[in-house]
Amino acid sequence: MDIQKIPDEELVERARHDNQEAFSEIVKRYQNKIYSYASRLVGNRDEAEDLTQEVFIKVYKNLYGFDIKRKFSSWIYRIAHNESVNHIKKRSYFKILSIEQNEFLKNTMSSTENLIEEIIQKESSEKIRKLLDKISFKYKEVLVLRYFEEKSYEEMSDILRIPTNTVGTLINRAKGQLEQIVKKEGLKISNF
Amino acid sequence: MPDKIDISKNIKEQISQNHIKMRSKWFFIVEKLGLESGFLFSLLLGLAILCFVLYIMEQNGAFEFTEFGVQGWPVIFDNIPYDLVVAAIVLFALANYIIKQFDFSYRKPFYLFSCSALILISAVGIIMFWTGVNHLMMEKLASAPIVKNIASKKITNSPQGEKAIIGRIVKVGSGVVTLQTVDGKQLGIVINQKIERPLDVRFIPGQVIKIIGSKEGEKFKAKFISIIQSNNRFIKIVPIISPVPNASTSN
Repeated sequence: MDIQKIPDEELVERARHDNQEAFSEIVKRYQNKIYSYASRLVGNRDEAEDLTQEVFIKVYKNLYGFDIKRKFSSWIYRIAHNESVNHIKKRSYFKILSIEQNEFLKNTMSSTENLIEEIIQKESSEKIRKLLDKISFKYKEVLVLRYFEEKSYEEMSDILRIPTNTVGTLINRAKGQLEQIVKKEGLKISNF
Repeated sequence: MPDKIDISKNIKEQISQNHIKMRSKWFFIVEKLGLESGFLFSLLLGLAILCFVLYIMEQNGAFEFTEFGVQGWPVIFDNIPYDLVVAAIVLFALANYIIKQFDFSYRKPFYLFSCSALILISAVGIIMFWTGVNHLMMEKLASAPIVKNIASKKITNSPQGEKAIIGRIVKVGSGVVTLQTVDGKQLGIVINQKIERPLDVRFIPGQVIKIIGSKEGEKFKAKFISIIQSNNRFIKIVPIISPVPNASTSN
């Protein structure tokens, strides 16, 4: 069978028995996804590359810690999330915005539904990264997972280890905060 | 800056040169067993300590004063062994921390399950206490070596603090009743018309009574009094002075 068609979970099972080719395939499948995810979280591509390497080292070390019945994708993203958070904490990188929770909840408009999609379609990666850097980290990570990594709510729940309902709540709040920033800075989406 | 990377060769090299090693499956099995054991141990020990707390309060007569309603609450609070309660809380916090390491802990059914389990455990605990099962279990536990040492310091068969007394009437005088306490001491109880007590009750020597009030010098000024019934265990605990002196039954 072509190795590229083998499911992730089966590759893990083979890699556990010292099948180097299986693990290499895992790395090839996920290296760019994890790199892209990490770079959006930490905002620096060099650091994201180092982080990606750390993620795969951890994945290899803990292969037997993965439950075959669960989804591998969620597991590796979970590791990537943890490594990114630890890295950011060490660097004291992320900014906590002072927007009152009540304020942005009150001001959240139903028209934010298409805001994120519009930003992704129209703006360059660099501009998107700058915009994401302005929002709280906990909202940034849900937006990245949802709109860039295209994860389902259930997958996000597994990655972030929070209930599915909380994922939905965080996404709504993230959209609200994003719209606040766009309005506050008087930005037109195509101009910032 | 590249949008794509290729670290597969680097990783492969590190593995082949043994710079990174896969952890054995036993590592994860032992870790899981350790977590499960730690959780069960913390939870069960915490519950056992809470049961023991109730036992100590019961033995010291704290619950005797629930009869007085709100007036009895300070007596109950004075008799709580707070160090044991803190120990139980720490163990429950530890159990909570451990359970959150498991993958299922953030899923919705878990919250419902843990709330239901908590309600069930509380209900069972209350039933065990009121039926006396807790008392029987704790009596056996209190004889175990380590527990015996703690029990001997905490259980005095007498309310702690200076707001409450349980004792046997030795002598009844005019406005003063002499009481024999559990530790064999005698104390004068000042009784006046302002105290609350059951109507048509006369104090007679030999009765065991419980009092809420305040200590004033060598005497105790009573605010609330109640007679302990004959089937109460304090009837046996409080010593009887032999012979009981002849005394007036007036109060």
